[in-house]
Parts: sequence; structure tokens; C-alpha cells
Amino acid sequence: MALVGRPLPTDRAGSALGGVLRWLIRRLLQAAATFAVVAVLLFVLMRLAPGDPLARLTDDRPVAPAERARLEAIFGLDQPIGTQLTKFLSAAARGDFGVSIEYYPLRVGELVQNRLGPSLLLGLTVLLVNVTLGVWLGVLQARRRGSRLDRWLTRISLAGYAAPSFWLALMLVSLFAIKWRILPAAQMTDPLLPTDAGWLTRAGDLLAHLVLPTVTLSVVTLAATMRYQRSAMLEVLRLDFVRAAYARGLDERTVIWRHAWRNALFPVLTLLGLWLPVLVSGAVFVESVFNWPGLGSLAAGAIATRDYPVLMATSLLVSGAVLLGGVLTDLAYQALDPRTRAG
Amino acid sequence: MTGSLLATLLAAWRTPSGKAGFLLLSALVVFALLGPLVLPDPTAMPDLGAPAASPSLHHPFGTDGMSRDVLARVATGARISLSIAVIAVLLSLTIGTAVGLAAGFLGGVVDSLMMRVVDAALAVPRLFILLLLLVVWERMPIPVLILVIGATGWFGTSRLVRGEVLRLRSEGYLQAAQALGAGRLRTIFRHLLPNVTGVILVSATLSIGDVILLEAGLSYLGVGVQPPTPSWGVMVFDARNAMTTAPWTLFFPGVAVVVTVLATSLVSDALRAAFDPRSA
Amino acid sequence: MRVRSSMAGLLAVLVAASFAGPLAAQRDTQSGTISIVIGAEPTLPFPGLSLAKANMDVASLLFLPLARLGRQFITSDEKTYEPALARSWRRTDSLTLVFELDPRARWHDGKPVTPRDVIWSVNRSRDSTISPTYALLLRNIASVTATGEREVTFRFRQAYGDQIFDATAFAVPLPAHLLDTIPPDRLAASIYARQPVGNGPYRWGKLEAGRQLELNAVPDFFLGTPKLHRVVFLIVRAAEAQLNLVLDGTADAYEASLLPRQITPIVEQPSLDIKTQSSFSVGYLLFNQKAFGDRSTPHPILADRAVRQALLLGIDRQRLVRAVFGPYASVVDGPMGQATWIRRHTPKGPGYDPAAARRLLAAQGWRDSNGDGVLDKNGTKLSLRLSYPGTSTARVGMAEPIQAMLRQIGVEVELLRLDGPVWAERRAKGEFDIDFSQATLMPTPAGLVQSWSCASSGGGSNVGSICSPGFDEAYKEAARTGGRAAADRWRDAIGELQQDYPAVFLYSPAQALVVHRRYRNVSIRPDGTWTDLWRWSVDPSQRIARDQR
Repeated sequence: MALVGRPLPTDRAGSALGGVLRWLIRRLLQAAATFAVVAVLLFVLMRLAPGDPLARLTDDRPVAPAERARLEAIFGLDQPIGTQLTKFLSAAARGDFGVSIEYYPLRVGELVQNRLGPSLLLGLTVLLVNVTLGVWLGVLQARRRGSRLDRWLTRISLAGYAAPSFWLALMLVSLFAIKWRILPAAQMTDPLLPTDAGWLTRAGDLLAHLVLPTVTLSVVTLAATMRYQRSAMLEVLRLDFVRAAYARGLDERTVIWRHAWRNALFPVLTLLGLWLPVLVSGAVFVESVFNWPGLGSLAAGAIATRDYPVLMATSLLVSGAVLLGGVLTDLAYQALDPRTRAG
Repeated sequence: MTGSLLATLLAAWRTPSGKAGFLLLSALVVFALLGPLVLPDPTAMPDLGAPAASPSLHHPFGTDGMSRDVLARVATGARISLSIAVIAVLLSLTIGTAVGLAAGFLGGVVDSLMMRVVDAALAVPRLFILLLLLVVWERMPIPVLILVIGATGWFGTSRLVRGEVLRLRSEGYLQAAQALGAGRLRTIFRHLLPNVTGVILVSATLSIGDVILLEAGLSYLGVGVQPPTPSWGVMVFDARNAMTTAPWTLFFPGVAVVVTVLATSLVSDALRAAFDPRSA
Repeated sequence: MRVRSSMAGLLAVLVAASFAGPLAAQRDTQSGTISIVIGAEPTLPFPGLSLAKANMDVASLLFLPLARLGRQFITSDEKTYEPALARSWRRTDSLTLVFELDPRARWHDGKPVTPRDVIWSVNRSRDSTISPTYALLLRNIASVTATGEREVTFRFRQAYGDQIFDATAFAVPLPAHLLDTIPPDRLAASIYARQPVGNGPYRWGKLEAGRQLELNAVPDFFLGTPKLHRVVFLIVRAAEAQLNLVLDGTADAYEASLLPRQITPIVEQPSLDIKTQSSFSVGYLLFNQKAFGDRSTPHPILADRAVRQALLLGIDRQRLVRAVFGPYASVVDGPMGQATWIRRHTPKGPGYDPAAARRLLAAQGWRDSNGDGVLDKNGTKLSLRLSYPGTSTARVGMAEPIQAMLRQIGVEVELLRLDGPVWAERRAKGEFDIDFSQATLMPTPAGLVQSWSCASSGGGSNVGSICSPGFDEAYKEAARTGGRAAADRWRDAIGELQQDYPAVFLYSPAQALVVHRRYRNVSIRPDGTWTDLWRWSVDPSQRIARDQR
């Protein structure tokens, strides 16, 4: 795989630090410029795409043309697209994304603020499960390379990876929540929890609600972490210092976790760059199925109704995360080998 | 070249995963090709109004709420979903590899420029670009759909390939090849390309599942395959409310997606092992 | 797999144990909770400020109208209305209605409801710069004045049947003493909008953004203490999650938007019940009489009335509606829902007759000259596009059978399954041949003018450019007539419309409520689902933990 390399050359990193810093600043500036271009692009694409953003406001009731005109004026949709764009950009630069159409009269900033927490909670939980389980299983596979266990772990994790998350979520709900009734089907908390419930009750309730979304997202993402860890570990296990450690008579556990694993960890950490967008946007479909009050379900709703202001804010968040993730990945390459400095 | 390709394929076939993957994949292809010929018409509603029937001898995958045979729909859907997956992914792999090789090999301003374009493209949700097509086509022809999915799916691949080229370069691999007198094109095709195959295969595996599901999302937004033609994605989406009453209508098309992606992953694993025994 | 289920089991035990404590502690006979699934966040739950269903659902618990339509929904019969904020009403002449407010009516802040509130609210709704929709609906009201300490007098511009309906349905009183200092265009963004003060059986409790809204009973509500002390609305957007929450017991009630064949297993679940009720919704295939996307040219195929008639004859409506809705919808012959009071006076439409359809088309010169199974005439194929939103399960379910049925009479139908907002946009622009429409209408047939009259042709909601002078004439006559006598006039008007074949009227879906069996006195209304919720109660023998105060 792309990022599998040698143990981290720590001694060399110090001398290259100044260069890396300069490179990083330049790279961040580039990312900022790209972000600005993306913002304009997104805005224009969104307005050009077909679909009436006001349709949902009135559900399926007939509306008088004058009412439509009034609604268009409220959201500034009656102005030429150029004016709308400049207005949007100058407001967005101040952090103001305007008023949501579907959630009128709520402001977009408030909506996003409310939804960020739940998304982060879910994203970080999945990340935690993914990294611990993925690293452990990956190392296990590397140690038992070529064994039946290794092969079956690969196949099972691949099957999980192959499952559409939306479908897997529905399958899990129908078994665990509907058929066996041991876990809640949706929501982040029990809406009817007594107000005087203690923190233990609340934590238990939250945990129970976290299980199915976390399992769904972990199952479909675990394979990647496992494979990265496995091949990184294999590379390291071949190296002299590991052999030397064995030769010194250290037991396997110490060799693997104290010596080898630390050096195999870095490539896995670079995966985090890819995780960033998932953390902020959540997973659109999975959040929807579980009615998780995060940014993913907010974005899903905004696409379905063409709620332009909310759609802009959520897509810009994701775009920003993608760009930042790109910078982080490049930074990882840099740290691996400063000679790859090319951009 | 053909000789080595055959050898690689044979080597891949010999791995246990490879055998399973190749067999699964061939079974899928046969199913897609022959299934619709022998199974009932997937759009026929012989008993309109009858409730969905659970799997039986007569309907191995059961019927859906409109009395249509689910097996026949999965088979016809296989044609659509598989051809979209294969052609679109091949297209995006080709473009992505070309761009990645060029950027990584040429470096400098070209690389910088190309990668910024890729950055921007990756940062714009693909859905927005695809939605625009509704302005042009009222009912999009399937070949156009495949082309567009392919043409918008190469950004990630190009980044991966470029990274791999940079790594090879940093290992002095390119310099060595050129020092031995290899021309630019020869360096690219004889030395770089075989070495990035692993990355390309990984990318292919990742894309196949994505593309099948993307098609579903697009159909849902009215951009993709239109009824009465069934596709796996649409079947999964439409069955989501029937989860409790007719779970088989949700289960089987989903399993078809899983099997396809799994088979591709196994094959690509085996191929990667054959290309580069170190990584297996 | 084993790891996962044992972890889940552990959590379940943990959670169950933590709930068991307070459950048995107290017993309260006058309490009860209901958790209700709604599809969107009620961000502006005020009558007259929003047309979105989630807002109107919540508003109907917070605010009362002057009077409510009786259970038969005869909009033009003053005697059948039920008192609400107004204790009684009387007619002094054909242009004047006098309402006497109930002296016990109070806002949630303790202030009495006064004529000033009514006048302020009606005048606000009549202001076309603030609410064009309501201004149009209230155009026949000439003035509203206080004629006593608790008396409000409505004067109308002309004598017509629906006077009391207009006065009560479209201008639900808001608290003038709190609102008259806020500029009208700031109201939505004001603090009041975040903490609505109403006069209904429930008061605003707590909103957790994106998740839930809690309302609490008003103990001294003047029409009687609500039996359920707490109403929790769960904000759930995805249809599959809505259903799942009812099935796993989190939600107690849910106004089903799914098809009966999908909710039937709910009935099999012992704790759940399904209540149905006819609705004001209607689904139909609307023919575009102008060319696709061009309102200046007649439609090359559908401008011909005989073709439209043939298409109606070529669709087996009975079979189609049964197949998709089972028993939970009625086949309709006119543009009104099954709850509309004049439904019994709608003339019967023709039945399924494909042979007659083929004869009609042949008589108009449509032949299958190239043997491809599709009729053609002068080189034009009899091929039409049917557009519908992919999110509507009912319409998705009917589209393919319709395509198959019309194929039998030699008509090719191309299906356009569209994203909701795209469908709405194209519909409004007239970019369709046949549109699969579904509308929730007002209880009064007078609303038909908006979608089916020549005056509205091509603009607003008459997107198919329908114009039948015969209907317009008969409509005017019917709207003028008051009381139940109007029924015969409406029959004439609908008959005229049917003769023009502007659409294939298909179904009126039942309003279906999925509800936990522990509730007593359960009833819903098609003009406001939860309006009577304050009369519901929990069977004392079936109380569960959440019902405790």
C-alpha cells in the first residue's frame, strides 16, 4: 500500500523541521485558495442544479403566486445569482450563513452548532473502536501471517467492508431493535428518560443508543485499518532490529508491542487524514437511518429539500475537512521522506 | 507482456482467496448474462394486489409488493449494476492512473497544478456535479450515466498513484531506471506502471462498491436508471420500508452488492499478491 | 458476532436496571404521556405563519380557533360548528356574523382572550404584504369590530355559504398583547416565536433542537383538564426511522405516511393499533393541456379531450388503488378528498373499459401503423411522460402498473421518477405531460377555484392550464349557495369538470394513525390530526413508566 514505509527516521526529522514548516505554510495557503474556489464553485453548482427549494415549505398545499414571491424575497432568491453570491461570500466570511429555508426562522449557524456535537461523538466513538480493534486485529494477522486465522479475518473484514452501510444499518435494526428488542432502533437518547435520571442512567442510555450506529460504521470501515496495520507490521517484522530483539531472547509480546508496533503505527496514523471528513460530516445515510441528530442527517435533509443555506454550510464544512485532510496526508509523506517535497 | 499477464493470472488463481474470488465473479457474470434469459420478466406484475410472498421453490428470492419476482429483478439489476461498476471504474482508473503518473513523474508546476485541481474536485461533493446533468437530460441515457460516473471518480485514484510514484522516486528507483538508459515513456510503462498496480487494484476495489451505491443514490434523485428497469441500488432503497414485512426484498439485492464487492476484493488481493509477493 | 451481541446484552441489562427504580414509586391516576413522531422540526408553530405540516400539527395544540368544524365538515352550515374560543355565534343578517367569546378563555400567561386579540389577528392575516395566502382566503371579510366586551362582529362583502368557515379557519387568534409591539416581518425571528404563548390545552415546554419538543398540559384549560399531562414530539425525518421508533416502543403514536401493506404487521403487534379516518387528500393524474414546458402552445396529444377520456377509460382505477392501498383508500371521481362533505354528491365517473378507450383513440385517427404496439398519428407516437416524486411510496407503487395498463390500449408511458424538489419545480413550470399529483385540500370545496378554474389557468396551482367555462359558471353558483342546499350545486360543478376530463382522479388515502393500545378515547381529525389529543387518556390498568408524572 502507498504509505507503507520504514521506521520513522526520528533523527533526520529535526534538521528538516525548518523546511517542513515553510512547506506547510505554503501548502496551507494553497489549501485556503482552493477552499475559496470550491466555495464559489459549490454556490454556483447548487443554484444551477434543478429543484425548487421552497417546495417543502408549503408541503403539498397549493400556494398563491404572491406567497411565493414573499418567500423568495425572505431568502433572497429573487435576486440575480451574482448578487446572491457576493452577499453570501461577504456574510460567510464573517461566519454568517444566513437563515435556513426548511428550518425557517432558525439561523444556519445555530443549526450547525447544535448538530456538531452528536456527529463528533459518533465519529470519535467509531474512530476509537476502529483504531483499537483494527490495530489489534492487524497485528494479530501479521503475527499469524498466512495462517487460516489470517485468511478468514481478511475475508470477514472484507465482507463487512463490502456491505452498503445503509443496508447494513437496516439489517441490524431489524434484528436487534425490532426482532429481539435489545437495543434502541434510533435516536441518540431515550426521549422519555425521567428528568431526575442520574448520570449513570443517562450514560447507559446514550451508550445503548450508540451501539448500532457505531457497529454499522465500524464494520464497514474496519477492513481498511486492519489491512494498513497488517502490511505495516509485516514490513517492520522483517527488519533487523526486530530480529535482534528476538535474538536477545525477549518474549514475543514485548517484541511486538514494545518494539515493532511502535514503528508500524505511523502509516496507520496517516489514515486519520482520511477520517477528518467523516468526523465532521458523520455518515449521511447511517445518521439518517438512526435519526442521529448530527450534521450528516442535517445535510441529507438539506439535499432532499434543497435548503441552500444549510447545504452550503454543511458542504463547506466537509470540503474544508477534505482539504485539511489532504494537507495532513501530504505532511505524513513529508515526514516519511522530505525528498518527496514536490508541491 | 501477455505471457506475464497470463502468468500473473495463474499465480493469482493459485492463491486460496483468488480461486474463491474468480469463481464468485464468474458466477456473477454468468448470472447476469443468463439469468434474465431464463427467469420471468422482472417488470411483470402477474398478481397485482397480492402481498409480497416469501421465498419459495417457485420464487427462490420471493416476490415484492407488486408481485414481481425478486430473483429476476436481481438478475436484471446485475446487468445494469455490474456494467456501470465495471465500465465506470475502468474509466476512472485509466484517467486517475494517467493523471497520477504524469503528476508524480513530471513533478514541479505540473504536479502542483494538477494536485490542486484534484484537491478542489475532491472537495466538491460528486452529487452536485451529477445533479447538474438533470438540466441537460430529462431522462439520462445509461451510457451517459456510466461515462459521467467514470469521469467524476478518478480524483482519489490519481492522488494514490501520485503518492506511490513519489515513493518510488524517493527510493531512487526512477533514477536507477533512467541511469540505465531507459527513455521517459519506457520508464513510465515498463518500470512505474507495474509498480503502481497494487495501488490501482486497491483503488478499484474501493470504487466498485462506491459506484454501485452511487448509482442507487442517483436513481433516488432521479438522475440514474429509471423505472421499470431494476437496479440493485434502487431495489435496496425501495425496500427500506418493507424491512419488517418483506425483509427478503431488502436482503437479496443487498447481498448481491456484498458478494460483488467481496469477489472483487478477493480477486484484487490475489492479483496484488501475484504482482508483488512481498505484500501478501 | 458473539462479541457484539454480548456487549449489547450487557448494555440492555444496564439500562433496564437503571429504569426499574423510579417506576413503582408513585401512582397518579390523572397523568399520561404520549410520544408522537413528526417528520420535521416545528420551528414556527403558529397558525397563519407557516404552511408546513409539522408546524400546523403543533400549533393545533397550542392555539384554538373561534369555532371548529363539526365532524361532518359541512363548511357552509353554521349549526354544525363546535364552540372553541367562541362560546356561541349568531347571524344578524346575510352579511354579518357575531361571535361571543368564552369568558373563561385565557392565554397561557393568564391574560383573558379579548376581542382585541381576534381583531388584531384577522387584520394581520388580511394584510397582503404579511401573508398573501391568507389575505386571498380572507378577501370576502369587509371588517371585524368589537361590539361588546366579549363580542366580535364579522362583516362580509357579499352573501355566500362559507362565511363562518372563512372567519374561523383562516384567522386563528394570536395574543395581541404580546405581539403588537413586534414589527410583522420580525415576528418569526422574535423571542416570542421561540416561546409561543397560546391559549390551547397544551403549553410550550422545551425544544431540543433536531431531537424533540415537549408540551405540557394546561391544568386549568377552560374546556376541561387534558388527561395526558405531557406530549413529546419526536422529530424524525427518515421514513424508515419513523416506523422503527414505533415498532421498538419509543414512540406511542405516528401518523403513518406509509402504505397499509407496509404497516399491516403493526396491527399484528399486540401493543399497537391502527385507526383510520377519511382525509382531505386526493391523488390524481393531471393532464397538461399545453405543450411540455410551453404554455403558449396546445399540447400535441393531450389538448384533445377524446384522448384524455380514453386515458381515463384505459386505467383500472379500482384495481390500481386496491393493489397499492388495500382497504385504506377510496377511489374518487372528483378532485376532493373523501372527508369533504360534498363527496357523496360527486357524480360517478366511468369504469375501466379498455375496449372503449381503443375505439375512442381509433376514432381520433390513432393507428399502430408500424406494428410496434404503440399508436401513432401523422408520424407522432402516442407516447407520454409521467412524472412523479420518488419519495412518494404510493405514487412509486402505482406508476409502473399505470404504465402497464396504458400499454394495453397502445399508449406508451415513459416514467420519470424525480427528486421531490425537481418534480415540484418542473410541475410549476408546466414541464410535464402527465403529472402524478397529490394534494391536501381545504375542507371547503370553494378551494377548487385555485386549481381548476379558467381564471387560475397556467399560474399558481392550475399547472395543467385547465379551463372549462361550464365548471366556472356552475362553481360560482355553488359558492354563492349557503347551507346544505349547496350540495346539489356542487354536484353540477363537479359534473362539468368531469366532462372536460382534466385528470384521472384516482384515490383519497385514509389518514392512518398507528397508536399504542393503552390510550382511550382516541380520535384524530383530517383537518388537524392532534386537535382532540387533550381528550385522550391512558387506561389506568395499562399505565407504563413514562405515564407517571
